[in-house]
Amino acid sequence: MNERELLTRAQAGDPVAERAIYDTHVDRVYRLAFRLAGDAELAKEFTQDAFIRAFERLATFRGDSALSTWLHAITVSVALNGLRKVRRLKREVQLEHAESLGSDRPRSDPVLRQRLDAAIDKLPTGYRTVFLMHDVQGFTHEEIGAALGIEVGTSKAQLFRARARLRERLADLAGAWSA
Amino acid sequence: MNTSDDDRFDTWLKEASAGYNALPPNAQVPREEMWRAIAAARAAGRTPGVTRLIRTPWTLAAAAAVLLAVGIGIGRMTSDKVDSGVSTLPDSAVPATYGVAATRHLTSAEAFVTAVRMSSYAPRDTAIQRWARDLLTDTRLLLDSPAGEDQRRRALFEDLELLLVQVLQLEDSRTTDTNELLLDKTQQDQLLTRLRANVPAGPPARS
Repeated sequence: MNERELLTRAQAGDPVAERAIYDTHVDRVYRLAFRLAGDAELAKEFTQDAFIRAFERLATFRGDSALSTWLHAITVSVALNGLRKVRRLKREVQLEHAESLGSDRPRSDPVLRQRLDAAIDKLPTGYRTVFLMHDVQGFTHEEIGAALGIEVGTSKAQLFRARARLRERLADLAGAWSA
Repeated sequence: MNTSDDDRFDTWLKEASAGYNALPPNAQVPREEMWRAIAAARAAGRTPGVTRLIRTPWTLAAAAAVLLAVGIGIGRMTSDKVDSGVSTLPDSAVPATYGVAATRHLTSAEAFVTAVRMSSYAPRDTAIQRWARDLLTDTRLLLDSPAGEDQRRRALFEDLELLLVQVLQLEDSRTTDTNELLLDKTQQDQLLTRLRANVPAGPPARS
């Protein structure tokens, strides 16, 4: 059964088709959520939330874009909104578990690794999202533009500025990365 | 750094960043666990996710926001009796000029968010889009300036930047549902409360 048929059946409420759509896309959605969140529990929550919203709105999906693009747009929106709430809570309320966020990262990373991770963490949200989607997850600028609702040129500009900021922040380590 | 250095850096960056927030090698996507949670949430007609994660502290935050709003209201009613030139954010670490620019910017942003909230997610509004674009440029300039070094102010600028980008993402062809997804009204309310808390009481700053 192709995606169009699956979609038609899922839009009619067929649970088997819904599960098939989930199985087809869940790995990439989860990996994207994990890249953005850096935390297994949050990635799980964002993935679940994204699929719930997607299934709720499936009837309105007209197929103007690929289903995967539509799902990624929802995932990014859910993740960014969720991360903003978590960040705010970390700032305004001392959550008991706040220190555990991001704890899935290996603790034995070398200095360069830690500096890079910290520099990526400090990028403005828009730059960080485009950078992670393009350079880390391998999305094309066309896919990013469609998923984030921005022009292809804007995606390219944000990637350029993200790299420039990382270059500035890691300039003192030039010997390490150019070796 | 010359062009070939830039190219080498970009190549290194692409390889090195592959490990950023990567799933641990032996980690598995918890497919079944997530599917059960999705099915249960849909059956119960509720949305799980971060709403569950933050329920308790969010109540506290909401209560704090209400108290803050009442405080601001009282402050504005009595604004003629106080020095309206003093920001609620400490400017000690920020040169005065940047502090003034930041305050004017936040005043303009407050008006913008209010206008967006009243626009009922209408299709692309050129005036709003142009305003958003101008504010986005200024927000990014301020983020890169000493005004962005204050952590609380920086967080506010970053959230404002995200909202502005989202407003600029709206297109005529999008469905209302998608626009509502992009522009979370709760998000606007929270941002507005924080903007008001950081704008001095009294008449708006003249530009």
